[in-house]
Amino acid sequence: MLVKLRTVVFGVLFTFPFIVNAQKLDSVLHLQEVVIEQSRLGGYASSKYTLKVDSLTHQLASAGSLADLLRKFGYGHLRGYGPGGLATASFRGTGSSHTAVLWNGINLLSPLLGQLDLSQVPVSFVDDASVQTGGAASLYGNGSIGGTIHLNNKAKFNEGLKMNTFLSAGSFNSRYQDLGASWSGKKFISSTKVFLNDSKNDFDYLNKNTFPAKTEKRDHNSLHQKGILQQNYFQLSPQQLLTLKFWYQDNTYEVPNSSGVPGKAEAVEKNTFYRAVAGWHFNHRQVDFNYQSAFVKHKLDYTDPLINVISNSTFNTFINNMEVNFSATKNVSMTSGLNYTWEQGLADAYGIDIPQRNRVALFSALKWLLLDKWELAFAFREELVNGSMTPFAPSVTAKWKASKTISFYGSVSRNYRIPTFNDLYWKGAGGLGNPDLKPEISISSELGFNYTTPVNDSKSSLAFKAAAFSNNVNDWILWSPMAGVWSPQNVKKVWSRGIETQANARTLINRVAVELSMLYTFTRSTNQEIYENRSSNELNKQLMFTPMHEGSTTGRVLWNGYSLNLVSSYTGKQFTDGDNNKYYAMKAYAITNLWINKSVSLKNTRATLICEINNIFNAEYQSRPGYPMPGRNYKLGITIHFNKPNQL
Amino acid sequence: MKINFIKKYVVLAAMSAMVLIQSCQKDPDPVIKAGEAGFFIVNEGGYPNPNTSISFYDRKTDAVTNDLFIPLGIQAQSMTVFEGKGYILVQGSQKVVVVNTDDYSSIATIKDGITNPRYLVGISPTKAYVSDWGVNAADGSVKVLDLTTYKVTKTIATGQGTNKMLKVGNLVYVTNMGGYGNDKTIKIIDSTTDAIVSTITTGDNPNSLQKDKDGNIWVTTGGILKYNANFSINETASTKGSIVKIKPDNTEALRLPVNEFTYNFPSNLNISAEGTQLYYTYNGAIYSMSTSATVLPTAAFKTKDYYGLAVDPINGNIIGCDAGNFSSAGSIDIYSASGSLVKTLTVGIAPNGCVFK
Repeated sequence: MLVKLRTVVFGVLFTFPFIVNAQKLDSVLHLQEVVIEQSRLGGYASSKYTLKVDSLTHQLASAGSLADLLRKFGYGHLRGYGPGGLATASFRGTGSSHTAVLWNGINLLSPLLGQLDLSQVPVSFVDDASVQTGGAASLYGNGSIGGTIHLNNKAKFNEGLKMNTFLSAGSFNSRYQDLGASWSGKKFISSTKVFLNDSKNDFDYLNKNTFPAKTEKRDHNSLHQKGILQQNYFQLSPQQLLTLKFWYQDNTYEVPNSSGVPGKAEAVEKNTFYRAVAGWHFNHRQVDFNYQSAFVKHKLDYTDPLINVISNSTFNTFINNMEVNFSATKNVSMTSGLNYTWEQGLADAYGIDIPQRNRVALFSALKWLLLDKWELAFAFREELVNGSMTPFAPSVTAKWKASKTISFYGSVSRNYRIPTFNDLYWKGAGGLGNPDLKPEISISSELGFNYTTPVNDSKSSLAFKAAAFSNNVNDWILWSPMAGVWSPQNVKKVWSRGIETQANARTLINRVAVELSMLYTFTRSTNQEIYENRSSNELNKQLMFTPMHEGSTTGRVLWNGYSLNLVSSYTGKQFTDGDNNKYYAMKAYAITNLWINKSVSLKNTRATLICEINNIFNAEYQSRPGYPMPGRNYKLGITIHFNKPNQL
Repeated sequence: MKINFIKKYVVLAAMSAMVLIQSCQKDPDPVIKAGEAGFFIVNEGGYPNPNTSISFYDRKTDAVTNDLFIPLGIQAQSMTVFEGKGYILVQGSQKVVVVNTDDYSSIATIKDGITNPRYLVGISPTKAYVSDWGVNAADGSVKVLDLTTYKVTKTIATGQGTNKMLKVGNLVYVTNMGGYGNDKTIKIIDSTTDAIVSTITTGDNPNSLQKDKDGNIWVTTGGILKYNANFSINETASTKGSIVKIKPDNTEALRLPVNEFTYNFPSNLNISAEGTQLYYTYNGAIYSMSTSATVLPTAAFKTKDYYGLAVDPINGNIIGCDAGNFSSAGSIDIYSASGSLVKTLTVGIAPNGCVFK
């Protein structure tokens, strides 16, 4: 928020010095690099390995969810049940509940499930998104073991009237409509966005579970989403900013059967949520003060008439975050803050109990620039949950700028995840929560290297980043049957280690800009210890649904308002069982997606036509065994932006 | 200068792509070799993953061959060997797979008319019965299977959650374990006419049965578990599972309720080859009782939670199937009749029973 405040109040765009060059090139390419670590805490983990969603990707992915974006553009590993279904991210070989998701600094993970379904985040509601892998971000608190997804909204004063619309239609009866309007004056901004997303997702796939294998239509797989995001910014005085945000969304998904199960599925999942945030930001000389208060209500109803299941649940959370940022000298800055979160869960499966938690967290961080060569950051977070201490979460990061183009960094951190309400309080036939669960604790360390081309060349650039990581998660919580009843236990110790690399090369040849980027991750994530000697055959085996190799290559060509964007992503073999039986492993697959767009500007209006072809080589693949993904499919969209600037 | 960097990068990317393509190469197909005398183990797999499989324990080599007959689909509930052929009932995939138990080849797949198959009982060389939970477990039935055409020729409505069956002479006793509701009947079908000739009303949700040497039918019943609003067990609305003895004239001689109201109710009833000793699972243990007993055993035969149970007809060993966490290979523990552990063998995912050739 520090950065946002600066952006808003002083109109200064915060960027790292070493990407100035890239920026210069960007402005030529109309590829405005999105600032990622916009949340105030980001600066204290600035050297971390991050993946940025740039503005072109953001624009191309606007008619879809964040899950679609991560999947189609090859950003890290997504776990889910196919298009339109539940999707969560898994980074660095950790579990689906090990990625914190922060919306303008507010943690959106469900206290019931410990996850956020990324298919319920429309890209158009988020101005910038980034993925920070690894656990060094101790400051982000609960769940940030494998990584943190940052979703931020931005605003600028005095930009006048803006309107935009995005209409898109595609294969499988998909329609996406989005409409936004904002007015930005000298002291007041109001912005409203609405969206509608419908798809039948009734694609053809080859069902190998039938004998002989035959082409079938995916049945009972539709999704309907609608939502509104309203934001208001008030400049109360040159030092004070008030923000009000409201987000409502309704998501109805048909839940298909595994393709191996014949017959009609009838299950339906409905998610309705309300998120309201009020913030007050104060800046005076070296001091920034930020306060945010958020209320979230999320209702999840799951019904399956076929097996007489009706499962309703709701959670309410009230999150209060206060922090002070103090720039002591040019080289030393520090932050301290307090978070109070109240959360309550109401679920059929909890019986008459209505569990609630009061969580108080204290965090602090210090950053010190030394001799222009060294950057040191120390941070810690300590949280009390209903009066009990959670594991102390400190982190240390050091960065050494070896030259103008090369820097090295290293970090060590301790992170935690507290058990969810389902883990603790679930009751009923066949399942029983365990109130004695301990939090999961992880120790992460990483070493990294960054290279960027020198600043003096503005025609071409080259950037390369690599990180080697090691992450130990202790007391990993897993549900397994105990005397016929499924119950969660702190059962194992998992060690994930690997390498993440990203490279980016750009050049401008006459008026044609060419960009090539590549991501590759190697992840070995194994069970190191299984307590009480349960399932000892899983020792030293790779975790399920965790590919060892993943990568993507993106090529772009931009010329005179045209752009061509080609992404090839590769997902390695994934084991589907705990002891890595090769017969049940899911095969590796490579998917290639193509976007071609053309922008035309006329006075205050810019229109862009986007053609999208997904899976152009018609690869046959599954997100999970029995959950097929679509073959080649198409989408056509048009965006229109209108901006009438203020008369100054 | 910069262009050189880009060239290098392109070469690097191309090389990486080659490495990736190489790593995509296929694993070899499983080597399946016919076994000697032994028994099959049904591994139900982790629903909804299509990783159900059959294992074979070979007595001669004292070794287990895993991953037979794959891909089989989702959740094999049982396998029956009848007239030299194996019938694998794959409930999740809603089919019956007919296999050759000697060379492990596949003979046929029966899908039409099969919805939620549980168990198969051979009636004659041309006919078998398949118990089926039906579409929503409330319309359980027995499907009459023609073993020459592999077609379902008739459906006999039987109750809710039709489960294990037992052939006694020309009569077939059919348990109805309640499905997603409750049932308390055992239907008796005359296999010559395929008609229900009698109904026995017994303890709630009967699930498995055996015949002893005197012709009595022993049954495990699951009972009913109802909860209060705070999820404590509502003891007035619940019933306990039981062990029931039914005399040859189809009247109940004994109904012995277990001590606990539990989700882990009595099931998996087995009997020794001589027809004198019963074995069943209940509340995280194996229990053993004589067919001459009139009270339930107080001490467990083995205190360990088993998902499936079998008694080896050849040597009288008791085999417990340990399903583990349903997401990795399970195991079987073989005990002698005296209760000492003979050996533990690793099998497929979630073993639920054994089938003797």
